[in-house]
Order: sequence, then structure tokens, then C-alpha cells
Amino acid sequence: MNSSLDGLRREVRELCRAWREAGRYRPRPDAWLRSFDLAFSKELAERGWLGMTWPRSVGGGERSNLARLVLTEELLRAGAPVAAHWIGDRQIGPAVLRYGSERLQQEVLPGIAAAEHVFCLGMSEPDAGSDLAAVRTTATRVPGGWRIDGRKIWTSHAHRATHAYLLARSEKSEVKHAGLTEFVLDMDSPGVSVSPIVDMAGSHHFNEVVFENVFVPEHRVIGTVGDGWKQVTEQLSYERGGPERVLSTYPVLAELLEVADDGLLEEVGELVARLGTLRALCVRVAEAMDAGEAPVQAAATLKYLGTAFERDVLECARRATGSGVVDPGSALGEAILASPGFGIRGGSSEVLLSILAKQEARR
Amino acid sequence: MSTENSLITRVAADVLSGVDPEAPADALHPVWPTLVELGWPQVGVPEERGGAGGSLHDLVELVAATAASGVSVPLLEVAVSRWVLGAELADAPLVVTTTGLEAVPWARHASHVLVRPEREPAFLAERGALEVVPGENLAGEPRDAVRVTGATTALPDAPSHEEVLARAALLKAAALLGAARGAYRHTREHVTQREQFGRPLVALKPVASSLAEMRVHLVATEAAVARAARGHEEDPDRALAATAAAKVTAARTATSVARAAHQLHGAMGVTREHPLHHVTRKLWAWRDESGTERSWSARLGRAALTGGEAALWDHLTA
Repeated sequence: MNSSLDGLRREVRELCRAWREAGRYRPRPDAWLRSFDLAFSKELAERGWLGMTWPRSVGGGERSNLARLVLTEELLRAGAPVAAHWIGDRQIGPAVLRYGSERLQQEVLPGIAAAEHVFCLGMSEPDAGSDLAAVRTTATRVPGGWRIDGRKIWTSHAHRATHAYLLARSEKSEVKHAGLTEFVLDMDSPGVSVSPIVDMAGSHHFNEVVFENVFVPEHRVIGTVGDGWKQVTEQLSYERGGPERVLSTYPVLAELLEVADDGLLEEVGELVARLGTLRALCVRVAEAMDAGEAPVQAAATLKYLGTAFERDVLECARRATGSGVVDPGSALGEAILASPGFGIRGGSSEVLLSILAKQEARR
Repeated sequence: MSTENSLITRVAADVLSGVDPEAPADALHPVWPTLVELGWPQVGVPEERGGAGGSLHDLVELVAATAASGVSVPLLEVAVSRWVLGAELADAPLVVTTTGLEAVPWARHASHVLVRPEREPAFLAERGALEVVPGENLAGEPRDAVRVTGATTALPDAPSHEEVLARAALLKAAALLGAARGAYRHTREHVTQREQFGRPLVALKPVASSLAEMRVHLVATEAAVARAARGHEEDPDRALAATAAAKVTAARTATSVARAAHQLHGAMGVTREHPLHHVTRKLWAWRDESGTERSWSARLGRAALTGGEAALWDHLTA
């Protein structure tokens, strides 16, 4: 790695260490979804670490995707509270950069880069989970914009978000992949209501969001009306290739190294080998993005194998426990209770494999 | 993105296309002299050392392409010898390198055997100074027991046992990657062309998923092998750990790819006549050669448990 990246790596480590030692956060598994701390996100923003690959004209840092990998993997390693900015920085910013109008970019991107905008993802619905093209939330043309009606579910941090990304049906079509449109809307718009969905561990990051007659101005459409399907699948294929698909349980692996005995030598070694391979894939995805390519297959591979690895770390850690009792408040306990989500969020492993299978049959 | 379509891989595939993997019993495969003539075993050794130049990654791709074609040749073993010896013994017909005497690859055909043991010094033995007891691996490749009965030449400047093992293991991981690519190609062709129930097999969802899963393992193994090759060229200190990860990954891939390939071929794939066994038997045979999957895993595990998280992370992100 070159020295500017080494310097960045040291700075990120230093910041996480300082916050941790001051008792400002507790390292947790799955922190990118579960540990929400706006103050920490603002601290990163001040250092220019949000939107770091975006153009300066929209508040970005014009750094490489490799630099962003260094940042994100160090944050995940530290189990730092990054949930407040993760969705906007990883996913919505790049989508708006790819398809958004100049005006929308100026309205949305500097706010994400400054950790002033917190985004949630209005994709899934009660009757449209893996089958995203089945969304029923409607967007109806009204003077000056659109009226949104419908429900979204599993919307992480909607109760804290300032903005929502929203996928809605803007025209009835025989072909269900046609007639979808993407929007950015303000969460404080009249007609938006949020109710919590508590997960099995008792934590609240999921929500159900209801939209009743919510007005969204015309310029808040992302890209082209009716092109939502193409845009959202591209967005999803990009967001699969990050280290958070590999490192959600890394804090558990770190603890495991402290307590494992020689009986687990080979099992730990196999995990290390898999981790090395997955990290090589992360680099491959970042390098391809820097080269202006869309590393769809590498990203899908990373997510498919990465989430399986995350779960297998927990199995090995379980075998290292002597007492047979896992405290639900421990890193391992939290991770086990969070683990069903690993292979579901962002496209389930089965759906991912079927997408890959279609590509293989056609190649 | 993928190295599968790189120039050198295409050139290699051209050389090997149409070559029958079946070799006469107890003789080297007829394609071997061509590969020697093309200078393949010297690739990845600098010209000033008597090599053919090119990068280690080029050699990795040649080894992989050779394995994918299903032919058995001592390319890996001779390439390691050329890396150790440079221009020395350049005209010797077949110098193979081994790290032990129990299962020496191709010993019966060798003109010289270069031995780099773990504890004793390295030496070179001519075929006449060796007693060879024939043995073979699951792919039917010579893996002979060797006993030194005559004079040998000491090699005081040879690389360490670990360095030789690491280079051989990297190339073995490349060979496994290649054999897995070969198995994948046979399988893809089979399931897209063979019809059952009135449509191609790939129309069955579990078949398509299995094929996709094979592909996923190829993509991952490719990244692991490339990372290890980079380690050898740029940062010898990290080469061993990166090689261990690549070798373990390639071995795991071998197991699942061979299983899926045969499952999707049905009974078609189990015959001597069908070319599939030329790659799947290699996948089974090579998993534990140049260091077993278990020993490489244990080595990584030991390093992680003694070095702790910080050392693991540094190695990971190097």
C-alpha cells in the first residue's frame, strides 16, 4: 500500500482508539447497521471522510475507492458507530451522482458529506422483499411534483433519518419492471409516519414507514421517470462489494483470537484464509471502480461468500466458549442474534445466486 | 477484471487447444517438448538470471491454462527448478524440485532431482545416483519414492525450504485454479447442451445454482492467487501467509468444484472416455500437495493465535 493510504489508515485507527478509550463508544459487531452516533459521523465528516470519492464541487474529497476501502475497513474493524452515515455515503450519494440532476446533486450530496443528512432506504415493502419490482407504493403526478402513497418496511433508522430514498411505481404497467421511479424525500414532509419494529435482540433500528398523500417536488426525482428498475439494480450491484459484507462479525473474530486453544488451530486458520481471499476481492472491486468499471460479478461473489464467512466466524467462536452459555450482551451474543440478517439484507443469498445463475446460463 | 481472458492465457489456450490430455503410459506427454521450446518453465525468472523474463503472474496463468487443458506435465516442478538454478544446468532434459523424498513428482523421468529438505542442506542428484520406487497420485501422475544411493552436489546458495515450498504452493494453487476452470467449462457446456425433460439441464434451477456457485468459487480463488503472486514479487515477508491463504482457498474450491462438476455431469462424467476426469482427478490429487490443506490452515491458525489480531490485520491489509 502507498504511504498516503498508510497515513489515512493510521489516522482512522487513532480516531477510533481515542473515542473508544474515552468511553464514547463500545465496539460492536454489525456496527454499520446497529451503532448510530451522529456525533461520530460528524467527526468523520470534518476530516473529509464522508463522500470521500465524490467530486469536490459537491462536498467530496476526490479520493480513490482504494482510499475509501482503507477507511471503511478500519472503521468496521474497530466496530465504530457508523450507522448514521453509512447508507447515504455508500449508496444514495453514488446513485445521485450517477443519475441525479445538477440541482439534486447540490441539494443532497454536500449534506451527506457533512453528516447533516441522514438517509434511510425505502425499498422493501410488506409484499415486496426480495422481489423489489413488486413495489406497490405509488407516485402520482400532481402540479409541481408527485404524490406518494404506500408503505415501506425494514427501514433502518427511519426514526432518525432526515431524508429517505424511495422506490415507487409511477405508472401501471403490464411489465412489472417498467414504470418504477426513484425519489429523494424529506422525512419531515406532512403525511410521513414512522413506527418501530423491534428485532429479536430487543434493539430498534428497523421501522415501518407509511406515506399518506406525501408531496415530493418534481426535482426530487433521481434520474429518469420510469427508469427506476435499471437504476436501482445498478445501485444494488454496486453496494454489494464493500467490506461490510465480510467484517460484520470481525470484532468477534478478534475476541476469538484471545481465547481460542490449539484445538481450533485449523478452524481459525481456515477462517483467516477465507478472510484473506475476501479482502483480496474487496481490493479487486475497489480497483475496478477506480478504473471506471462495474465489477458486478466480483461484488456479488464478495457478498455471497462474505456473508457466509461472517456466520462461520460465529460457529468457530461458539466452539471456543467453555461454559456453554453465551451472554446476549457479549459481542458473540449480539452477533448471533443479528446473524440472520447477514444473508438477507441487500438481496438475499438465494436471490443473489439466482441472478448469478441467470448470467452463467447466458454467458 | 478477470485474468481468465488475459493475453497470455489466450496464447496458452491456443497452444494447448486440441491437445489430447490422454498420455502414453510411462512417458512424458507429447506436448511437453513444445512447452519447453516455448520457454514456459523459464517464465517468471529474470532474463539476466537465464530465465525468459515475464512476471510471476504470467507463469501463474501458464500453469493454470495447462492444468485447465487436462494434460499432465512437469511444468510446475521444472519452473521451480529454473527459479532456483537460473542458467545453471540449462541444458539438462528434466530437473524437478522437491521438498522431500517420499513422493517426488516425475522422479522416474527426471535427469536430475533438486532436493530442498526442511532440516538438511539442499542438494542436487543425478538420476543415476537415485533409487526410484514408482508411486502415483490420484491423477495418475508419477509421485515416486526416492533414495539417494550415489554422489550428490551441495547447493549452498539455494533458497530456504520455506521459500521453495511457498513458490511450489503458489503454483499449485494456480494449477488448482486452472483445473477448476477446466471443470467449470466442461460442466457449463454439458448443462447448456444436454437436454432432459425436453429442455437443457441448466433450465433446472438447482443445476443453474450449482453452476453459479462454481463460478463464485473461481472468482474468489482467482483473487486469492493473484494476491499471493503479488506478495511473492513485492513483499517476500508476506508471501508465505498470502500463499497459505491462496492454497487453502484453492483446495476448498477444488473440493466443491469437483463435487459439483460430477454431480451436474451425471453418469456421463465418470467414464474413462469422458475428458472430465482429467481435471477432477487433478483437483482431488493436488488439494494436499505442496503442503496439505490442513497443514497450511494450521500454519495460518498458529500465526493468528500467537501474533494476535493486530498482526493478522496487518497481514490482511498489506
